[in-house]
Amino acid sequence: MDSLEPTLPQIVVTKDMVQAFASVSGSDGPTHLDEEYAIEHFGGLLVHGALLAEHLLASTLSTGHIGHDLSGIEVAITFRSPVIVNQVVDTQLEQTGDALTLTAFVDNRTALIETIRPVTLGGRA
Amino acid sequence: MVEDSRRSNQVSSDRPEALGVLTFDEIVVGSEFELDAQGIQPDQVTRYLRACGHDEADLYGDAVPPLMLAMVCYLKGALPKPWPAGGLHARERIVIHEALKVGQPFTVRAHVKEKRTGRRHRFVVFDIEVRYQDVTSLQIERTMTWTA
Repeated sequence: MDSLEPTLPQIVVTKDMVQAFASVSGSDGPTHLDEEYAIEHFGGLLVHGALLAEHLLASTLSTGHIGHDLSGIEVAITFRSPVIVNQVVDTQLEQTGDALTLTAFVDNRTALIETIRPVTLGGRA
Repeated sequence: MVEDSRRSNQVSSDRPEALGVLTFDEIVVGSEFELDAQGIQPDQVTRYLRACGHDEADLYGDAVPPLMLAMVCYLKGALPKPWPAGGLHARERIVIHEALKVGQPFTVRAHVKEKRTGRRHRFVVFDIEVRYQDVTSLQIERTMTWTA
C-alpha cells in the first residue's frame, strides 16, 4: 500500500461542532447531546461518525487526491470505535491501486476506516 | 431539518411519539419505508461542512455533499417510529450514482435487508435508495446497532 501523504489534517471535534452537526443533520440522540447519558454509557459525548467520515472525504477533496465529480464512486465506511468530544483525531491517507483508504485514529486506536473506489454503474466505470 | 411526508407499507405512521421506539422485535425483514423530502438548501450545506471542520462552502460545487445526503437522518424520518437511543452506525456502503443538486427535492426509499444478533450487539441492515425524479442518486447499505 502506498502512502500518498502520511496524514490528512488532524481534527479535534468540539462540543460546538457536534451540536452544530446534530442541528443540521437531525442526528440529535443522547449519545451526542446528553452529557450525563453519554458519560454513563461511553465515557463522554460521542462525535458523530458521519462527521468524521465527511471530514476525511472533504479533506481528500481539498487536497486534490480525488476529483470533485464523485459519480461512479463507492464509499465504504466501517466505524470501529467511538470518538469522544475533544479527543485528538489523527488521519491517514493510503492508496492501493485505484482505491483510497482514509483512516481516523485516536491514540493509535482505529476509529474509522473509509475506502473510496470507482465502481461500474450500468456499464460505465 | 426538512419537511417531509412519510409512507410505510408495514407499520402505521400515526403519532410515532406516542408509540414509543421501534424495537428490534418489531422490525420486519423486508419492511419498506419511504419519505419525500424538500431540497437541501445552501445554508444547510454550509452549516454541515462547517460542523465537519471545513469552511469551503463550495467544495462540492452545486451538489449536495453525498455523505450529507447519505448519512443524515432521512432514514430516521422515514421510519414509522423513532429508533432507540444509543444506536450507532457500524458500517455504511454508499454508491454515488448522480449528484443531487442543492435545492432538488428527493425521495428516500428504505427496506430492511437483514437483522442479526452478534456477540455484543444486535444489528439491523437497511438498503436505502435516494432518488430525484427518475434518477438514482445514491444507493446505501447501512448497518446499525439496535439497542431496544
